[in-house]
Amino acid sequence: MNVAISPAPKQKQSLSDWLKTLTFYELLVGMKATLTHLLNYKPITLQYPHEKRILPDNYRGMLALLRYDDGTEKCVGCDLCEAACPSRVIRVVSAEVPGEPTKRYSKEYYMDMTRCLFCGLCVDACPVDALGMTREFEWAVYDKRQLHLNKQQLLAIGDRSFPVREKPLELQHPNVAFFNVAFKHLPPKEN
Amino acid sequence: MEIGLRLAVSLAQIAAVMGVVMLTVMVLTLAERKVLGWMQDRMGPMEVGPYGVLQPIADGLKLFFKEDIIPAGANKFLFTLAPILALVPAMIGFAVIPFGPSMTIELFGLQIKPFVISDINIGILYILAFASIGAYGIILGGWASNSKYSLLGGLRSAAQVISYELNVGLAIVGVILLSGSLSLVKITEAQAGGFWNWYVLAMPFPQIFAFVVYVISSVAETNRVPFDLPEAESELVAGFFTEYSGMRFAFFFIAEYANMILVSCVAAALFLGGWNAPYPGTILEYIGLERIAWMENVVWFAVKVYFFLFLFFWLRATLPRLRYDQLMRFGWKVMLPIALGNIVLTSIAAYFFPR
Repeated sequence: MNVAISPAPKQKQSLSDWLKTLTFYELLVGMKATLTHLLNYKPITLQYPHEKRILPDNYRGMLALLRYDDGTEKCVGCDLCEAACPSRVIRVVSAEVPGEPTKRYSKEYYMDMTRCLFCGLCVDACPVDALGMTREFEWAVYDKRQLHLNKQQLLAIGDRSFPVREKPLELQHPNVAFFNVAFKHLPPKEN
Repeated sequence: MEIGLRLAVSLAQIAAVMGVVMLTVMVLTLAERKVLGWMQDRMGPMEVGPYGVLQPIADGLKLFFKEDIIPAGANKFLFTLAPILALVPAMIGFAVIPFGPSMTIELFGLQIKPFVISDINIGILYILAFASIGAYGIILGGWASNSKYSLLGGLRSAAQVISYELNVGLAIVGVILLSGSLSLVKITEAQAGGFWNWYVLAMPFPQIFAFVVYVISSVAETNRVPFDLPEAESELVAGFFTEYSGMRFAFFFIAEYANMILVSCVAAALFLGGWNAPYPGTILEYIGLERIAWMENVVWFAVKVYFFLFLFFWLRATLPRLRYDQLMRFGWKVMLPIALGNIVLTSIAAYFFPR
């Protein structure tokens, strides 16, 4: 910053440069630009509460727990989402399904959405696609504790955001159903 | 008895002018946000009323009911005084502005001029004097707040307003030389009869340079973009009124817009012929409606004033803020020599080609 010591090298100014300075040419160019925008008024504003964007299908919004089309929960209580979560949002308490010792489920399932950063890693980690990201984003609340969601609330979000449900795993394809399946409700295999 | 009547008439005139000015300020607060929004591909305020037209009322109500905070360590007296010192000079200047033709009507046996509150013979000097007092409001407000941002804003404003007021004063001298009067009514009357008689174009020496200097300096004097250093949002929070809230803040706000209207009125009256139409006479007079010809004149005055106000918004939407040393160099090394040279040339021209 030795501006005062070394004088700036003198630049040759042509006549047109002088004229441009005298007539505020650069300013007028800028003012023409703003006036053009005023005359061709095309606002890019979206009047948010009144009109809303159409969100893409892969929008990463509020997390939800999903169900199969017969109403049973998809979650098998494997804890992989809890392990994948970088912000430690999820807490799963896994348990055996009463009366079906081969089958497990999440007895309790908590999400602290105040910490969630909507990375989607839990959804990727889930082996049974029990987690989904909805397109809900209007979750501003007055009390932070309202963002501490339990299993029932997460299931309710899934129910209202994903009305079309998958078939149970064992009915989708015979090779898919290799774990966490009790075969009581199926007819015995013929061999 | 007569004094009482005269007082009543004057008070009525003052109330009418104040009402129009306050109404214009309300319109301007909305118009500025709308025009800025349109120029930047936005919409501006849209929520209150259809297309946001009731926004000024909502703003006014909010400011009126807002808590009035005096910061700890502030000088209470000066802190209270500063907004009033800023607002009153901005309002008081309108007393000498002629809004329409200088006719006299007789009312209750009194000769009154309906379109100017008081035609004093030093009108322009009066406006300049009160504009200088307005700077005190800003400086004292900045100092009394006990805040570094306010103080810096006030200091900048002191330097800026004083150096640019000089240019305003010198730019006006050319017009005064040509018209031979300080009264705004006489100056406006001297420009009658078509746009070629307006002082911005009038022979013997067009005041076009003085006009440009005046417009630029008046933008600087009202602390508007690109010369809004005293309230530079990105550097000084809000400059000299950082600590103000509620009605006191509103006073500063109204003062700024009233100052904009005032300098626009002066520019229209001095350089663009005031209430004179750009053609000789008025159309309403030609078609035989002499009694309402004043309407056309008033409309022309409003058109000119609103053109300048639009220019203020337009500049704000376009130009970035100057650096402080650029501002000072521009004021003293560019504007001042142009204004002085204009005075010299105008006086030579006025001496050899007297009108």
